[in-house]
Amino acid sequence: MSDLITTQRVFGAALRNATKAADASSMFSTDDATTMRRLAIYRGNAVAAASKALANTFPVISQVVGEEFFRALARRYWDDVPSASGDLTEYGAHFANFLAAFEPVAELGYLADLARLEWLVQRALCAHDAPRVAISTLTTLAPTDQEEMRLALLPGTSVLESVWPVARLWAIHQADYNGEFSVDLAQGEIALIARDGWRVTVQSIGRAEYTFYQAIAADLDLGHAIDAALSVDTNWDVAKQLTKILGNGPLELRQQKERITSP
Amino acid sequence: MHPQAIGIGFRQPHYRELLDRTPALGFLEVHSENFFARGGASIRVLEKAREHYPISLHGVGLSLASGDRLAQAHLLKLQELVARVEPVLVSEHVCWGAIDGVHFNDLLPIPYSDEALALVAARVDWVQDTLRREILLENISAYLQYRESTWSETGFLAELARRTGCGILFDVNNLYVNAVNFGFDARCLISELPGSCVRQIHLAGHSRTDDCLIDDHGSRVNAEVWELYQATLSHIGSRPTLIEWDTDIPELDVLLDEAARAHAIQTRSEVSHV
Repeated sequence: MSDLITTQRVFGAALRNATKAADASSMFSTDDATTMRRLAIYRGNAVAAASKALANTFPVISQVVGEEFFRALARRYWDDVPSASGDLTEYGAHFANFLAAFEPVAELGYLADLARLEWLVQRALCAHDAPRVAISTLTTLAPTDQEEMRLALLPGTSVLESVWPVARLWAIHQADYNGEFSVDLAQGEIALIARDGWRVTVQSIGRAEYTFYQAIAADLDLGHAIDAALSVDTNWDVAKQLTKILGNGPLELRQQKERITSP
Repeated sequence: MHPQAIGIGFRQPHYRELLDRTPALGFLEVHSENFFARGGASIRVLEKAREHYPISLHGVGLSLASGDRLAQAHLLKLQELVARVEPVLVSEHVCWGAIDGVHFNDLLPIPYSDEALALVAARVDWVQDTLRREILLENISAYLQYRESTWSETGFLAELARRTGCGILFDVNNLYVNAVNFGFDARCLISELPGSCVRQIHLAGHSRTDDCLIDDHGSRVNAEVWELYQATLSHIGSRPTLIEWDTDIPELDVLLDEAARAHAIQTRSEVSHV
C-alpha cells in the first residue's frame, strides 16, 4: 500500500476520533503535545465546516431546537454520517433519518419530516432555472387535444406527505411570515415544494391535487392525470382546480409545444 | 490578465453593493463549489458579476492529492461551471481532503514527497486535459508538517509546474503562516519560486494563538506579509493579486482599501524594477 494512503488513513482517523490522534503523532515534525493541539485545530475546522453547511440547509430545524442544541446535533451527525463530497451543499442528505432515530429529539416527532421538507427546499433552490409560465394562456386547443397534452413538473418540484403539518410549520418559521402562529399538530399535510423565480414556495395541497402531480410525474397525459385526481376525490372541482394548476402550478409543457404555441 | 490586476473575493455580504457600485477591480474570485448548483440565485449573481468583471474560479473541494480516486463527478461540475462562466483563472490547492470516501472539507497537508508529487502531477494532467486549459496550484497553510517531506513547499510547486505546465498561485500569507508555525525562513523559499510560472498571488489575514498562527482570512493583511509580498514582487515582478477575506467579513471599503494597498506596492515594485 502506498505511503500516501497510509498517511491519510492515519491522519483521517485522528480527525474522526480524538482517541486515535496518538497514532498519527510520529508522522509529524512537532512534539507530541503540539501535534495533539494542532490535530484538534483540524478536527475543529472539519466539524465547523460541516455544522455550518448543515445549518445553512436546515435553518428551520435550527430555529426549532435552538442554535446551541443544533450545534450539538450537528456534531453527533458528523460522528455518525461524515461528509461524502467536496461540495458541502450535498451534506445533510441523511439528516432527516438521523433525527428520526435520535432518541433525545424523540418527543419532537415532526422534526424528521420537517428536515425532509427542508432538504427538498434546498434541492429546489439549486434546481435548473425554468420560469413558471401559465400553461392556460398557451393553450388554444380543442378539448380532445388538451386531454392528450403532456406536462412535466418544473425542475425542483417535489411533494412530501406527512402525518405532521410540515408546510404550516415551515411557513411560520420563515423570516417574512407575519400571520398568527397556531399549529394543529394532529393535522397531517401534503406539502408541495416548488421553485418560483429565485424563491422556493411550500404549499399544503389536497390529496386529489397530490395524485394529479404524481400522475404528471409518471408521464400520464392531462386527461389521465385528471382521471387519477377524480379517482381519489369524486368532488374534485376540475374546472376550478385546472384554472389554478395550469395558471400558476409548477408545470411545463412536454410535448406538442410547437403545435400549441403556433397553432 | 494584466500583471497589476487586483481582485477581491466575491462573498455574499458584498454581492449587492459590488454589483451596484462596480468599483474598479481587475477581477473577482469565488470558490467554485459555491456555484455548482445548475440554477438558482447564486449562479445568477455570479453571471451578473461576470458582466462587469473577469472571474477567477478557486476550487476547494477537488482533493487532488487524496489517496482516493479523483472525484470525477466533482470535476465534471467544475467543467460545467467553467463553460458557463468562462473564467480568467481556474485554481486548486496542493492538498488532500478525503480518504476512503470520508471528506473533511478542509485543505489538509500532504508530505512533500516524490510519491505525492507523481500523484498530484498525474491528477493535474487529468484536470487540465478535461478542462482543456491551464490550472493554477496553490500552496496551502498548515498546522502540521510531515517528517518524510523531501521537498520544500515552493520547490514542490516549482517541480509540479515543470512537469505539468500548470501555473502557480502563490499565497504569501500561507507561506508566512507556515514559516512561523514550523520555524523556517520564508524569504529563502520565495527565492525558489520560478517567476515565469507564477500566475497569481493571494493575500489574506491570519490570527495568532499562543500555539501557532491560524489562517482564518478574517483580518487585514499583516505587516510582515506585506513585506514578503514586496519581496516576492522584487523577485518575480507584479502578478494579479487577490485580497481574500472569508470570516468576519468587513465593509466592502475595507477590502478595497487593502486592494489599493496591494496596488501601491505593485506600482512601487515596477518602478524599482525599471
